[in-house]
Amino acid sequence: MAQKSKSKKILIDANVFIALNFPQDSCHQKAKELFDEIKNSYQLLTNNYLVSEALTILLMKTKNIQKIGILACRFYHQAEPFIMAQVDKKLQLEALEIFSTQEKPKLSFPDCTLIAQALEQKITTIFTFDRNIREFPLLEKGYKFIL
Amino acid sequence: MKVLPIKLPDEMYRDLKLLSQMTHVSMADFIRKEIKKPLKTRVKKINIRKKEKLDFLEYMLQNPISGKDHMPGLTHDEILYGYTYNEKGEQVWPKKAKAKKS
Repeated sequence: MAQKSKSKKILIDANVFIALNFPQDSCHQKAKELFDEIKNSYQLLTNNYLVSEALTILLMKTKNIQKIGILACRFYHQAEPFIMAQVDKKLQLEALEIFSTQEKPKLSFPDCTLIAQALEQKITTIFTFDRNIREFPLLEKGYKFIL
Repeated sequence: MKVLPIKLPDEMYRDLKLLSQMTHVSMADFIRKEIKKPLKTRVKKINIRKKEKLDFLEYMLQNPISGKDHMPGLTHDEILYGYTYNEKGEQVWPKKAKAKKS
């Protein structure tokens, strides 16, 4: 219910989930502090590609299948306050367009789904530690980055 | 040990006293023994419910994954794809020193 009353939306990148869950990540403390600031005022959105990327990297870094398994289950079954969008074909095609037309090959396909989701759902605030996303031309104007 | 004064209905008190006299177990011991297991069970259930109620963000904050970093010094792209891109958009492979560390 609390989620519905939050009108502002923020899109959360995979690297934020990695930082939040892995204390050895250089951005761990920053991620915790920033979540404290935004958790009560924003709807926290992400998508299944970004979650997939975060879980894979966390697994490779920690090798802790038990804990990553719990995280994966929570994302699919009890993700509140996060809302994980399933990237449908339309959004995949928009991401593909961004992916295949980038000037320099810096963005992964999951990065492109984040940009496509931000553009399609008019989410103007993005929480990422990725410089390449912050510098992406389509997002230069009118977008606010929390980092 | 804490002391808990407890009021019992007359009939329960009578029964408890009788039982105590017959079994040579004090009334307090009898109560302690009888409530121990159900109390633990109830508390366990409540704790589980409490844990389930933690929203996912709180769960993440309270349960970070500690332990060794098995891919130290590598960027996320290097971990996933084996290489990354520099400012000019050129493919860059992890430095040998980095790779050795991992």
